[in-house]
Amino acid sequence: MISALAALFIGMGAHAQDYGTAAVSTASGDELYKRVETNLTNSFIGAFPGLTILHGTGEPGSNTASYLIRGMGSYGLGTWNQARLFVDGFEVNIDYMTSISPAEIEKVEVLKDAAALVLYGEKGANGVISITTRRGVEGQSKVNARVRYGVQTPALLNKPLGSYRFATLYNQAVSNDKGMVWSPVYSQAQLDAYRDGTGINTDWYAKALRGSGSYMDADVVLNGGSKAARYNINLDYLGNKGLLNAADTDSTRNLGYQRFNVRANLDFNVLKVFEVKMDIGGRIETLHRPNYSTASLFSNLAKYPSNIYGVYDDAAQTHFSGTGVYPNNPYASVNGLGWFSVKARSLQTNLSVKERLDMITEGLFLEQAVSFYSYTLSTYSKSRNYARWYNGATTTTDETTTLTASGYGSAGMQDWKQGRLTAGYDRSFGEHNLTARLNWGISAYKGDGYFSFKYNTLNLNGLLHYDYAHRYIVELAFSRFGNDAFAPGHRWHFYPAVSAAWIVSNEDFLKGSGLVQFLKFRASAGLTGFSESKATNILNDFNSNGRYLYKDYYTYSYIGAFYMGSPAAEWQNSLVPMFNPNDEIGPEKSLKLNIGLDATLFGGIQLTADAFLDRRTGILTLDKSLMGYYGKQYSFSNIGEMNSRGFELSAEYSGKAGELRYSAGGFVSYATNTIVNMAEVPPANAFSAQTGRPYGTFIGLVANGFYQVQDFDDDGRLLPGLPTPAFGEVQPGDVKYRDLDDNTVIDQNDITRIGRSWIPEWNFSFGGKLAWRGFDAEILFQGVAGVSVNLLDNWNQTVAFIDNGNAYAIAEGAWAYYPMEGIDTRATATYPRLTTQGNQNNYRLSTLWLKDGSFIKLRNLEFGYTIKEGVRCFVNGQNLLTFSPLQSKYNIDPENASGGYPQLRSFNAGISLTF
Amino acid sequence: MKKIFFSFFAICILGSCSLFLEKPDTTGTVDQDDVFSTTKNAGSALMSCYRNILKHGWPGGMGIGHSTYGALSGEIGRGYSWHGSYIIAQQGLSVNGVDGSDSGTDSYEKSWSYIRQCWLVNENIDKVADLSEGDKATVKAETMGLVAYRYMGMLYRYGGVPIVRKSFLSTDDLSAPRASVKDVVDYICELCDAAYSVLPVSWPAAYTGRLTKGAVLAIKARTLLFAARPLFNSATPYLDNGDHNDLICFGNYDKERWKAAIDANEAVLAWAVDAGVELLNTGGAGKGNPNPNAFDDYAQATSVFANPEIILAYKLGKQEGWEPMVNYLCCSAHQNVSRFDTDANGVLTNHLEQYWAADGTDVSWPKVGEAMPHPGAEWITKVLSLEPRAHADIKFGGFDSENNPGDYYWSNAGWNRGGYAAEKNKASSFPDPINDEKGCGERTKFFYHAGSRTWCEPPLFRLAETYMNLAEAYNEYGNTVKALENLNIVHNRAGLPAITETDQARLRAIIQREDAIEFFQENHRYFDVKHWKLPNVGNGICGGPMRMLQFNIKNDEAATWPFAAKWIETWWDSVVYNAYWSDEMLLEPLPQLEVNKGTTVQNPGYTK
Repeated sequence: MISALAALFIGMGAHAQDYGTAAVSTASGDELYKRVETNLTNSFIGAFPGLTILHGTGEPGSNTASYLIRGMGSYGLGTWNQARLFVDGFEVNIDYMTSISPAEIEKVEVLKDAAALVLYGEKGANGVISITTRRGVEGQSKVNARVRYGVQTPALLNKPLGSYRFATLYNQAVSNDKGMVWSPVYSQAQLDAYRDGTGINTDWYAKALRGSGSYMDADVVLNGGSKAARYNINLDYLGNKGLLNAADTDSTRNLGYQRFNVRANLDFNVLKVFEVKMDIGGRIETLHRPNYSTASLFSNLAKYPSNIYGVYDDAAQTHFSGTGVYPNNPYASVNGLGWFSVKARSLQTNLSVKERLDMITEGLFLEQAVSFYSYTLSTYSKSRNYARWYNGATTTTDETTTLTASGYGSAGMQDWKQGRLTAGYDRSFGEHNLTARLNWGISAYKGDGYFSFKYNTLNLNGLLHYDYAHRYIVELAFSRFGNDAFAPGHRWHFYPAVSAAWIVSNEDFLKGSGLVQFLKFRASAGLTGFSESKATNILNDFNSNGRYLYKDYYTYSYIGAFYMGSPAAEWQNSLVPMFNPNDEIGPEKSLKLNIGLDATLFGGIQLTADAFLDRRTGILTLDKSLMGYYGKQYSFSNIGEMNSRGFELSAEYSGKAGELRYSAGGFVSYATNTIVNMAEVPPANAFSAQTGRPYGTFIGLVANGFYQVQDFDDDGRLLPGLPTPAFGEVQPGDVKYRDLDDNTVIDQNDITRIGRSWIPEWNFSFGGKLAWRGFDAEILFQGVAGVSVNLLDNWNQTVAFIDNGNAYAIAEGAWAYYPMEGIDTRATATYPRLTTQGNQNNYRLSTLWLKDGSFIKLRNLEFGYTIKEGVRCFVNGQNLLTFSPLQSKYNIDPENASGGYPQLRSFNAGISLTF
Repeated sequence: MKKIFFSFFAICILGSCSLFLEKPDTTGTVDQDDVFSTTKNAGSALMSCYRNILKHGWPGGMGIGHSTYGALSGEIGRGYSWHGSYIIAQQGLSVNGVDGSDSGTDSYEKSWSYIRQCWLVNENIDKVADLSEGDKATVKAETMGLVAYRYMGMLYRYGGVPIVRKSFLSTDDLSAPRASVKDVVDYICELCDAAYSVLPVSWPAAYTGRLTKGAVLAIKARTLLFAARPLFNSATPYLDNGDHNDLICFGNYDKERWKAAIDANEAVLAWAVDAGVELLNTGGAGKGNPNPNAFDDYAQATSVFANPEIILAYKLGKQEGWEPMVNYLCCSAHQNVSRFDTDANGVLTNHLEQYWAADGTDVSWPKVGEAMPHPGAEWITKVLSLEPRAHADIKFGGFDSENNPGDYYWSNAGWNRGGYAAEKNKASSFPDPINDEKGCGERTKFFYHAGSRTWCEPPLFRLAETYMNLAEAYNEYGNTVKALENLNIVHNRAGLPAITETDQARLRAIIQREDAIEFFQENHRYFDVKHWKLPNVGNGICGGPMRMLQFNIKNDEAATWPFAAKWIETWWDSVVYNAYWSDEMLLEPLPQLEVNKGTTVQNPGYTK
């Protein structure tokens, strides 16, 4: 359950995992294989206590999960997915990790505390996900072949109102805009036609999407070898078909993804001295889709009302419909524009040679290792266009064109060269067990981009691990980290850590106890760092990631040119200063404290508990306190501070009753934080501040019902005595806000904390397994809590009618009062009065739109049957049930609140053969 | 063995580290020393000053991201709901900014950033080795002129602002408060005077677009005109600002401020003679007579690059992709790329009513509240009766654009852009609007004989402004003769018979009307009407009812979009929206974030 830090650096087995001092969560490749996912990160869900995680969308190619280790420790990057990623001890980027097949994986570890992270120096502060791939095992050759096939359907589609209900509400909206004088745009005859089905009522989701997509994967693993040479060879295929309603033809393509992985991990023992490891992991991935961005397609699906037009404008079905206002008929976007594809190739090659120097002194060894990684991306497309027709005439300048192939071209590349030299010493003297390591690591990354395309780092690190009688364990470790991002003289930083463990169960008084089989207490404290920052848009805009801020660089890449001369004006370069140079800038630092225990009790209960504090200082921050007329907002320094805290608790009970074997378990983890200093300009009212609150806390207005008719005088003016809203004129049915500072004006100075952060505080999972004779079953639930979702982030499905928008069921709760028409929702309204015009008062962040984003999902349910030794078949279902207040009330998936490509529910069947 | 092992480590760790962590070969990055090491680089730094300073207030030019200020001063419609102009028309000016501004319609912080860029060039240009002393002095003068230009813009937006005379270091005392209106006016004049003594009368053709003596004279002339206008030149401020009234007005009325404006503008005219800058009037009709070539002269003066009437223009050589500064200014072929930037900015009736008839009389337009719509044929006669400037400024609904005669893409038939507020069979809509975005037509100013050209060079100072400034200042100073003389230079050039009104108040109204017409879409009116303190600024100018003509098209099979004018059955005027107005909007708000820092005082009326 808990592996030691040292194990990471010397491969497997040098230490029994029980003797570690660090906080690490581990899952095996076999466990992750059970989640049928195209993207590895999604299979992490429910597997790691301390990993905050939300599932990615179901869109092949854009489906990476959102994760954080122990919550948001720093606002420096302020985004998801900050953990650094390592495969077999070498760093990789997320492009590489997402497409590793679980079949290649021995185990995945999530490194959480200072004892586990200190060696990573300035890559460690936001945690590390470390993957170890399978290696050959000495013995008879084994072949394992597996194949799975599944059907995937959208877990949830939030469809708009049909034409009748849309038009009914639209009449209200227009009337509201005309001073609440009933002025319907749709006549009763039109409404009747919509209702009886003779009017246009197009379900765009049904037109542009198909009912289901498919999933298939297959892998073969060969494993075996002798003492002199061992191998693990893996071949893996994955194919995923999306939900778009386009056939795979020369001119159209459904969204789809294909992946081929090959990996060979080889171990050789040469003479008595050398141990050689040669690992090659390669992959080709292809993604294709209609030649229209999937995000735009889903935006149109959400936005285009049902009554605009049908798919075709003519009975012969040769003219796609389209108008100036709604030019991109969703069905035609999928079928009328050709297709686009992107291909990625990546190769990671690692070689290490270890020399056992027992002849010099027993237990001494040296190791040299290198890793080369390269990645290229290329694109290819076939495009065409179509004329937009409406009522027999074209409506835009688009013309129908023939299919044209693009050139096959490069779209980006990366390479990464890493090396490591290690000197190690492992020896036991009686009850004294000693392990020592000294590593020197070098990393040179080149990718795409401007200021952030090249990263060079050096890392001299080491550890000393002392164990007395497997009872008392102390570990000292350090990293001296060199980073090219900083000024000469400020490039090297030192990160120490100390940790200790006491294995109580190895004390004489507990040895052989039936109650306590294993009990260990752990504690660790230490420093790690992080050197990248996107704390403000400015760092993002200049693609600087917080690098080279010590230089007074000028740029001409972002601002365009100036022209000079006559009659033909000539283009003139223009150069602008970027940042106020600051020599002192360095990495942000994280002081992490952790205490924990691991226990095995009553012969069947396994427990792990951890509690942590993370004090972050020196977060790179824009100094907003400088006056504007200083003239250079771009002034950065290491002044930000944040504190995080939380705990993880996991428990599993396994047992046996006759031939029935069973286990049940789960975990809960909690992480939250406080911004101590972010150089925030003090807001007018203290209650509006972000400082002192968790990062990402929603700060907005407090809604207080709706304005009623009696709040206005006969001329439509707000009655004196009521606070004046500063967001434009209001009328009955508009949102009323609380004037928190009692200054009779409602404005942005009245904002305060109105909910949680967008980062869940609580993450939990629970489940169980049963096995009886050849049958087995497994179930897994997972969820999050303590998180808020802003419905306005899903603007298209929340805000009705504005900008020729659509209307959803939520708009049926709108405030309306037309007594002559029998419409009166004044008492029951849950949504502001409808309007077709922009409205600054109603559609701004407030308690009206902020909702609880908690959920529990049934992630996995599997039944298997082992026909005979080595032959198992199984069926499983993924993402089968969701319990969520957001989903039950607003039909919005809390993990996909912005309403893009849906998450998937899948039913799969497969077989595994081992011989 | 051990020795080898340790020396191996030592070599790696000590030997390679310093080199490996050296500044990586980031492409295209120059630091300040590099910039001011060569003339070429320093020239690039100067060009960015030009670009950033002169964009002030133009769409995307560090004001609101969409529309000209004309969308906030009754010239054109407010645009789409995500446009800054729409939001401001709906809710007024915000202390938190909108659509790219950081407060109101401006980007206060960026102004300072750009002024700093100017000072950095000014302070470092001496380091450039291969530049002559004379050229260095000129560059310094140019940066001072540019600083003055931005200060001028800040003055008429905010009133007094802090005075910054150098690029600050972070160790400097940064607690400078806002200076008074008077001090800022003096400072702008000081910068202009210093620059004037060094800058050339005019530049060789290849350097057209850079500041001349005339440009800084024009900055000073406009600054002093604003200083003389009622908003600042007053004993009492427009709203009480407690102890800080000197930030928003002079605190007294002094008629001599008009004299200072007269002198400064006369200086521009004197320079113009030397520089060969002149009002385009090729008709040869003689002083006081209508110019028979009015259409071409006015259209060329506003459209042709580097024409003799231009004192300073924002230079653009070609289509710069999505450059909002010009793309959002017009209805050029850019609309074929994206109409969502411009096609909801139809011309308002509020502006249409300003134009004279070609014979110098008033034109009567449909009024809101009339019992009956007007017959379609009347639209054609009304349009044909309008003065030449109207035809150069606007492509009228159902008509071809006269700016580009014979060009199919600018004709009504080829019109694939916004069009006008016309729809078939909409008689029943009367008196309500059929469409609240398109109005009576679209802007074509700046695009005379443009063809497929999508860009223009927005004039920042045209000599016509100098004459109009003089007309206004002379009238206020009591010299009606000179006022009429200057007014008629512009009025006659437009092909209209001379104005003879001698009553000061009535002449004032005529001059203001002439400004509204002559400078349509040149970002004048939004500031002019506020500084004139027009009593009805909130009732049909910046705020209040905004009106667009509506056109009901005959329900005839043969009538196809874009509808020619002959298919108009009836037309009328409708209020399409009411723009928000409140008196604090006479000056712009400062960003709340800046005020919160405690040193800077907000303008009155913007809470806290």
